Amino acid sequence: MRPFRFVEPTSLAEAVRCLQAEPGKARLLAGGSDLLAELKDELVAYDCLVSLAKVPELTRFEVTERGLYLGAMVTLAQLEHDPRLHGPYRLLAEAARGVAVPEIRAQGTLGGNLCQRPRCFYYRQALTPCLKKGGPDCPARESPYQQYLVLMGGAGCYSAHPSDLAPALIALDAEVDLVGPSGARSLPLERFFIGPEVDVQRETALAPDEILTAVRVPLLPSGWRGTYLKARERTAGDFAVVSVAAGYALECGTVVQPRLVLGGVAPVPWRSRQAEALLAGQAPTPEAARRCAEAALAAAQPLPHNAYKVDIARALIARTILALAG
Amino acid sequence: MPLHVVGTAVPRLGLAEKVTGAARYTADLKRPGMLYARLLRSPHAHARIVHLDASEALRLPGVHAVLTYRDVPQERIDADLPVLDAVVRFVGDEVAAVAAESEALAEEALRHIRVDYEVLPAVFDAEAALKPAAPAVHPAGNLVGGQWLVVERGNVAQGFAEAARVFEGTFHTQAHAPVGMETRAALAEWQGERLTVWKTSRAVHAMDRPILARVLGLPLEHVRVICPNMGGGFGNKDESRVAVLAALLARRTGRPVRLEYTRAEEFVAGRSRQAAAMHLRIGVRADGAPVAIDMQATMNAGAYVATGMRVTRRVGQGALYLYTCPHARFRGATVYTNRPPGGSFRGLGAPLGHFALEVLIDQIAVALGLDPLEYRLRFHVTAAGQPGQRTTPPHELLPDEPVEGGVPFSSNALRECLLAGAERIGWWQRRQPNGTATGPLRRGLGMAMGLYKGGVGREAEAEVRITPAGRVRVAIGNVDVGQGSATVLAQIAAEALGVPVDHLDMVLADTELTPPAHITAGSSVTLSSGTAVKLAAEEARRHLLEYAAARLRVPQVRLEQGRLLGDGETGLDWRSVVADLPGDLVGTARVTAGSRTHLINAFAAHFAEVEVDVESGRIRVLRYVAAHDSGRIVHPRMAENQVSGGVLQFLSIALREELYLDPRTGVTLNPSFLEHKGTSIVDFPPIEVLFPAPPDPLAPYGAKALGEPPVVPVFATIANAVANATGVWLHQVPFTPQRVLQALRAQGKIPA
Repeated sequence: MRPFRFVEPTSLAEAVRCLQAEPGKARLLAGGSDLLAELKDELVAYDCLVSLAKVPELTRFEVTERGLYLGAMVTLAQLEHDPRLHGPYRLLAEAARGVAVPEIRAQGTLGGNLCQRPRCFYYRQALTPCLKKGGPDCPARESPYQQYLVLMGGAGCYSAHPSDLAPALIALDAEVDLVGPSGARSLPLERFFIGPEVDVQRETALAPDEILTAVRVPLLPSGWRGTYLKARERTAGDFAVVSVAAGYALECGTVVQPRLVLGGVAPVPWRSRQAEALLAGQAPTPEAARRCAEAALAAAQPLPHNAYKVDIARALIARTILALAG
Repeated sequence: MPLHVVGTAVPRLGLAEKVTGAARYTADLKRPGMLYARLLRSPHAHARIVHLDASEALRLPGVHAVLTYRDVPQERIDADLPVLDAVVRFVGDEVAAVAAESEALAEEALRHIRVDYEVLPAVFDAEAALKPAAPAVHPAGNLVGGQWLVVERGNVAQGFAEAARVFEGTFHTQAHAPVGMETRAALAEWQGERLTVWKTSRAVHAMDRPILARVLGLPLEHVRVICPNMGGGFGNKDESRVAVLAALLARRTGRPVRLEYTRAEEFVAGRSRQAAAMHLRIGVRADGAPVAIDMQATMNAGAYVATGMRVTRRVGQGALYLYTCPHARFRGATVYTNRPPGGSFRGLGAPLGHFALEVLIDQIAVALGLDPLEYRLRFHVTAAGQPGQRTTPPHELLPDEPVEGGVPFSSNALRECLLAGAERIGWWQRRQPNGTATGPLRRGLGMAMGLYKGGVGREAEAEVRITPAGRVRVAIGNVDVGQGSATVLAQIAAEALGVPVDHLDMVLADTELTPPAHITAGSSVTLSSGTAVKLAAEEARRHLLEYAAARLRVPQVRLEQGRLLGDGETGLDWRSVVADLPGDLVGTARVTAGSRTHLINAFAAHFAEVEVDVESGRIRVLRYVAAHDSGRIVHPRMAENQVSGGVLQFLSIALREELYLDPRTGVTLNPSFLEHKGTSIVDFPPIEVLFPAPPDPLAPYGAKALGEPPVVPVFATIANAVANATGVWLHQVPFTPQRVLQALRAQGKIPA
């Protein structure tokens, strides 16, 4: 790891100024579980790390009649254990519990989880140039090791988005708040993530001098329920090969407000509106679940060595939909 | 004679220090004025260094030395391993060594060493490396030793001619890292022309000391090697350049130097398990009895062979000896490639070869309509050994890697292991026919067995010294690599002496304080050094009893549990009679362990219950039963841990662990605990350990090998349980979701 300076601003404005002072050479540090690994592996190098630990408003965690307000520095362990995350919000707690191991959940943050970098082995190895690191081409496309590569939406780079929280939060219609030199802005979380066709070296719309400050989740119908399933190679301390966040409310035995978002299968969390449309107004039967899975995966174009992920995704989608049927 | 110490779970030596963190490992040690070393590694899989300039690195304040291939002795560490070389043979091969005031500075210095490489063609696959046009990793060609290893009993061609049916299969196992918690490390310090090295090791006497003396041009007695606590040995430390480079940097700088691998270095430049490609043919008679077994293995040794030939030999052991069979052959090729080098790891090749053998045997049993357990009960090798003629001359020790027939085992409780394990897991009541389970989650029971060697032919020495202070100092040169051999040897010494184990001070793994010793490898310590320490303790006991009898003016005394007993005496603490000893009472022994009449092997039968998610490819191991014949169990709790630890280690390898090598560049893609996926606690099944075997008549107190046997049957046990659940036998380790789903799909076992 190369040496760097470490600063701890006490306000958002000061933190933005720190980023602006050294464009491209300063980087935000939240829990550090991803960034420090990148630094140690020399995938990235920064002159200055700007810690967000001393910015008080980033730890706000509020549950109101308008929904959830989650500061970016809320930890994964808080999301996992806070008793206020019940009913519709239980989905978020489930997704948080799926992340890594208890030690990392105690350290890792909501904002950091949404801004984490991909798990493609070639991105993570400094010795192998790749598009994401400014290299000339993608060495992963023909590789035998494709568990963290996409089934759809790849464009030159085929790394999948690894976040567990993102699919759950998109299923909950979350919005994100960003602050930068020219003020604050908000956008739907779904649009926060960008694919390689927009910028192969980034996964989010966050500008280098912007800070993700909060995630807001609107109020959902009280009967709405979601669930999160994650296929991984070991039960703890592992990233999703495929994950599924699904949710709906049941009214008179039929599905309303369905949501289906996949993780680990595309460069961004993959929401399938076709599958949601198929499910809406239907009873959540095994046949409906199967058709929903087919629709969600209709666009899948597996790489040479990850077609098995389609099988896994199909199974998980059907299982989440049926699990919510009660 | 009732035993008082052997067979009891005495407190493990050094346990409190390890639990409290007080135990010191090599990388914890510091010496005054010590410098820190780091290594520059090759970014290319195969290249020649055409230009190397370290002057900029040397100009950094606090950087004291840079060693390159131009600065090191020409004497080699191993036949194919120079101290440093102008040719690099894998991504991660050592190019230069730096010593500096801090680790960070040494690392910074690496960035200032300029190296120009002429990149050479590289080869990563063993079968490709055997082709005539393949790039030569070493000048003599890629087939190590220039020929295949061939061992045969009887005549397999004749055996296949007699066979009613012939079965065959091809099997693959992966390269993976042993991942001891402690990374490789060495600290070197010179006093004039004398060198002291502290290091991670498995043989301070048999390997480290002679290698350091020879490479550095020193008399043997000028080199002292000490291995402090080991944080995970698994047969894997060390076969590397670590100690020699630390010693050379220390000599160059005139300061002590410590070199410690990072975790990523341990994954890449430690010594990994060789990937194996195995082809197996088995011919059976009409009743199912094996009449010919023929195995061929191609082993990917990587860039330097280290102990690879011995690993290859062990691949064949199951095929050669586990089933009563007149004709058996093993052929093995050990092949250089530009992969990171392989080395020794728990079980050597035995778990790999047993995987192929025990899966194919399962397939044969099912094809013949026999229960797989019934098949094994009928045809496993018995105490009589194999049919055929003894070829070892009568006056010579019999090997413990047997090929020949006509020689009985000293003990063989395979049948007891099979029956005990089957009963515990409920084999007869609970097992359904293969492939009859339905639904997305399918459960199955599987089993496999194994045999392993343990210590025959190893020379061992021990010294037992009774001091006037009332202590017993037991000196043995072996390294306790973490398996607990210091405790086991203390128990044997205490038993032979007749004193409690806490009267003993164990001294191990220091070339100055202990007699010469063999390597801690091949599950050999209990049999070989156990025999030596028993004899030495018995001699010390005789001296003590003579002294005590004279001093107490009685015709004779006995010593039991620390009490001296004479005729009518009520007992006197032995320590109260030695205070006036003019000097120590010393017993010594030097032995070569083994037998001229019997084979000495350990045996095991394993059983597992698994659940396979046929939609997601996930295998869960629900329950595991391991039944072992290691003769008498010296320390029940440590023995149980040894078995359950070995099973867990290999369950993890069976299901997940693999070193991913980029096939274009040879770069290791996952050198971390995060992505080289070891099992975590939540994936551990309950493991039940059974020891149904009697003591062995030839081993010390009846105790046979135990270190490696627990890992031998694991892969096959899981593969056979998966086959019971799904109807599909997996022929490639690890059994990842991808492989499970592909195999199910290929055999039409899941809906499209």
